[in-house]
Amino acid sequence: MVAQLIPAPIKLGLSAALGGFIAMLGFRNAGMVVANTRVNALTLGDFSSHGAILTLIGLAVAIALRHRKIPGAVLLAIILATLIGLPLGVTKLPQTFFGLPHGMGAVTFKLNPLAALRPSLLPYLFAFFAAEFFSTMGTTLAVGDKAGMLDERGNMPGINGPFVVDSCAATIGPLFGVPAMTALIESATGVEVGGRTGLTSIFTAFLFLATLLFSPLILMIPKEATAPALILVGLSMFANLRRIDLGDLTEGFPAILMVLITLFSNNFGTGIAAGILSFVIIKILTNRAREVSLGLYLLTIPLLYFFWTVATKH
Amino acid sequence: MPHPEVLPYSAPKNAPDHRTDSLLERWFELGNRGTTVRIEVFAGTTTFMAAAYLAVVIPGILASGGMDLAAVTTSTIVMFFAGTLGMALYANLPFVVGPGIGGAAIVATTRSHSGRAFSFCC
Repeated sequence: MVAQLIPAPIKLGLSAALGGFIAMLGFRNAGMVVANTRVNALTLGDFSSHGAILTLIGLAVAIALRHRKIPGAVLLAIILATLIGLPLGVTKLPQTFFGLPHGMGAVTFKLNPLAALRPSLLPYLFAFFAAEFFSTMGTTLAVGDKAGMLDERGNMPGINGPFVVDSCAATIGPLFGVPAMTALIESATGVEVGGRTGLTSIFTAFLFLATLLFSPLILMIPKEATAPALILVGLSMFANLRRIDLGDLTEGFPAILMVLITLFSNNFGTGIAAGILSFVIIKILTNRAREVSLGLYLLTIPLLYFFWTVATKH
Repeated sequence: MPHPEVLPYSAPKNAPDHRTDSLLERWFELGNRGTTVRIEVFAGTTTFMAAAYLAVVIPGILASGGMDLAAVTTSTIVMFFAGTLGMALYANLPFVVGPGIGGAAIVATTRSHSGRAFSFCC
């Protein structure tokens, strides 16, 4: 229901806003973007630093391999960058290569659901719900289509199966400190080579379990080596913007504003609030107020309050 | 990443004789969907290769929000295992289930931005 309330340009712009955010995280981890306290703004970092060079190499490898549709392109790029990081001094070798996994105690059962119920967190609740819902639906339909499981009207028989599993996973995950569990678009790679049933997932699941034995190796991977993945995935998420009529001021402006405010404020919730508020305001200003649903007008009240609290000095 | 080509859903033309089906083939309806154990092993490995980077990237993102890196690495991998196994056994679909980069980024940056405990968000 909430999903229908949100206007299309906001829904389509969500992934771009999130993508910009993720790419920025990658650039920061690589040291390619830093905060310049003198001019009080973000600025380019030192591209000749070992960390930045490592990231650039990893990014080049990931793009080249992904274009050739090599399975595990991003993984190979991360491994290569980690290895190159050894002589450069970015990667630190662990004491042992094999070891029992670390306990999960530090992040398990640290929930406080009541604290989530306040207006300032409303955009996040929405963002979470939207991210989960659209991710599951998008992945299921896209991968299902690839697997030839859709009927002639583009519907998938038995689609509630994956939704039930995703919902359970998304509910249980946070108990162990892992948010936003969902079916992942990476599933398309296995379907591409012929995977059609749950048996594929069985093997994937046990391979993940096996990696636990190598956790010292996983923990040694430096953040500069994973930055290429963040940058590549993040920038790819801008692709959805093309489905918005960017030439239409009432559609394009809120979507782009949402992306920019997310980056300026370094805060996804603020970006969504700005996007929805500007959508409603611009529709009113352009005599198209009737295109805005009553529910959306109601939603703007808590969002206005939220935006006021984060965007004013107090 | 969008792929233009769509593999046709093969009808069970060359489905194996059901009396000789192994337990695996019956449980997962391999014949009905035109696939074999060997194909499924290869596909499962391919999906793992494609998604394995998330087992590194997600804990990194969450740790940037203040979680303990070692503990959340274990958690993430266990959740990948449990979620994907659930998808296999309940929905019988070739989908890998795990934490998305987007959601992890929301949690981590919200936490580091607001200075609150990471736990409120879910």
